[in-house]
Amino acid sequence: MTTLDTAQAHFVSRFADCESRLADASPDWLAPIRRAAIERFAELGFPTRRNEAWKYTSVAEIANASLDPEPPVRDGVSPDDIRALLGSEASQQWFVFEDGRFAPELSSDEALPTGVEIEGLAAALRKQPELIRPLLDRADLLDRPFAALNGAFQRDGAFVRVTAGASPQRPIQLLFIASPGASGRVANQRNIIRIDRGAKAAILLRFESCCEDVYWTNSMTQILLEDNAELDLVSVQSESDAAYHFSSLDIRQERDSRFRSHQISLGGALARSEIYARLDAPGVDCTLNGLFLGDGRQHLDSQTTVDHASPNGTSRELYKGILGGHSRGVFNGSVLVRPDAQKTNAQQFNPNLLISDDAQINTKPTLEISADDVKCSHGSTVGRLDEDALFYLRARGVDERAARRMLTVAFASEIAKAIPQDSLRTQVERLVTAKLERGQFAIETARRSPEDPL
Amino acid sequence: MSDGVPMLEIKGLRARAGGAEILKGLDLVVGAGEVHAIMGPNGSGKSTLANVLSGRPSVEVTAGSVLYQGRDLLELAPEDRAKEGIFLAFQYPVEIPGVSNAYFMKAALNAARAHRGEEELDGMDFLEFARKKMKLVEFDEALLNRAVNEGFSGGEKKRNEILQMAILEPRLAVLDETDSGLDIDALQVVANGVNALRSPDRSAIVITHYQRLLDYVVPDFVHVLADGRIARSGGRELAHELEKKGYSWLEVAPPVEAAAP
Repeated sequence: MTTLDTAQAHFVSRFADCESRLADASPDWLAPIRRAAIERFAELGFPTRRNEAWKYTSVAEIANASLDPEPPVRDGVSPDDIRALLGSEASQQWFVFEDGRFAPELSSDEALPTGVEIEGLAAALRKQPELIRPLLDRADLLDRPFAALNGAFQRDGAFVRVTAGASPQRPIQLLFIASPGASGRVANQRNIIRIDRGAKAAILLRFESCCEDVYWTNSMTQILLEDNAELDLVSVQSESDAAYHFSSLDIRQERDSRFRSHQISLGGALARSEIYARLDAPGVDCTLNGLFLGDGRQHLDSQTTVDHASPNGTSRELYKGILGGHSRGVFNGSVLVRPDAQKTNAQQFNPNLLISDDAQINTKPTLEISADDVKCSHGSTVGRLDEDALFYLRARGVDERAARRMLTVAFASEIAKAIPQDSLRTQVERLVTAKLERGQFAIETARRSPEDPL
Repeated sequence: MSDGVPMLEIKGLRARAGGAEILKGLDLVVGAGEVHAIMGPNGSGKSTLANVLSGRPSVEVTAGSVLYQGRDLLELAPEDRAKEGIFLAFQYPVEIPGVSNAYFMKAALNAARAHRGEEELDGMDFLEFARKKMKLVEFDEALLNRAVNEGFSGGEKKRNEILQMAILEPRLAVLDETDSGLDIDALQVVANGVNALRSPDRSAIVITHYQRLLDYVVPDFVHVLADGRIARSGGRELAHELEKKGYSWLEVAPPVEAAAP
């Protein structure tokens, strides 16, 4: 048996061990959904690199780590840990999830804005099964192995609903934190976000860690935008350097809804995000922006699919990568325009900046068009810092190190600038700048000149 | 400058760019307080000279020396030259998306101030200082908040160069064909910028293809550069002579290869 087969068998047998415990924790209708998911995972197994979608990302390391997908609850995060992580942002309203489970005792106790419902998914499953069950009972979500694994072991996560016509002033901020005891575990969390008819909201999903060891965050987030709803979703992934992070985002957009994703990938030894946006009704607008910053030996993979299934849809996608050290980036973006999706306007672009000789990027933007009256463009670039711009800055007295940093921050800034909410934009800018100024990035942005003694 | 040390003293300078030797033994002395014009046909080495003075890494000096206020200029990194008071107005100013013009100029000014042991300016103080200079070069303040040169017209880019020069107040300004492509109004702005800096302890080298700018910035000396050397030097009347007769009367061989950008 290969490592991947062993790991697959380990997870399947772990499910058999835990199935009754999981069943006790949830309503009865979830048991067959879990069962279908583990059966599908048993068929799919861990993906190999022969699988086109996994060509550049090996999961052998995760398979080797023999992690526990259904560990006992162990408290570990303290309010002080959270204050230390969030700094000045700690005074804002946060909903905290510890190893994927809702932690009301760590969350802000101020009242929710009008029209906003937030609770742990485990509780919501019991209270609003009619709303949640159809979302969880979707066979199509099981086609990706780690989404299937998530389906089998799901217990908790965030349930967020913004009711019809509501428009909360402040962003809704969710903090997913790996506890100090997360070592050796998988957090299979499931989030459901529902923006009802005509509602408008901004939501932050922020992934942080108090654990320096190996753990795996396996997150699945389902988003539904009803007619004319609008959502800015900002996700910032700052897991620890030893962590594995997988996040799937499944988006369904109904008529005239507007969705903007701003996805920032900073942490993790191996991190992969998969976004599937289905533009299922006419007049839908979808923006997918992303930024991944890799250094050391990080492997950061972004997979996106925009599926235009209805006429008059617009999608814009801009994913930017900055890679230093021996890091590797992968971008695999596909835009599908189905036969009915006439008058589609779709753009996709993935520019990348390599700031060290040993960094790598594999980028593959693809377009598959089956309608004839559409406007589509796509492309990617891979480059280094512009030597002319660098010289221009230096010729004005800016030190080489500062000049390299200025140009790198400038390249990254476009993604943060597109976030409409001031507080979220500021938070993202702070986290991106902190990453660019820490350790290896700072050294590399300084060392590429022969005159420089570093 | 005191003690009669020249602002700039170039001896036997040879330099290569784009795989070819462009400067072939150039000598030039610029005294404190003087404005020198350097003219010459395309490919004669004018821009290469500007690049050597500013420290562009793609130009390789193979022989000769350059002393700036008595110190070896060639051993200094570009940023250190700038902090010591050398300014190059670029022939082709670079567009830098994502870096605001104001942020960039404040960083440049504060680098020089810190180098001189002066206190750095904060945003408010910088803006107040910059506003005076913008008035001098008739610079639209809206451009200060845009990304450096991004989407600027040709004229706006050149004004931006002159604004930076006015803000940095260099000891030695080198203008590399700043006048090319400018209308007469813009030309006057450039000239005002240079003339405002004229003083007994500042110097300028004005590289130009045309005599026109020299009606507004009246040089103390005019040099003709041909095939990598100074072929002829004189007073301002030399510029008029060139204007009338062209470069051919100098009887210098046309350059074989064009200068690399």
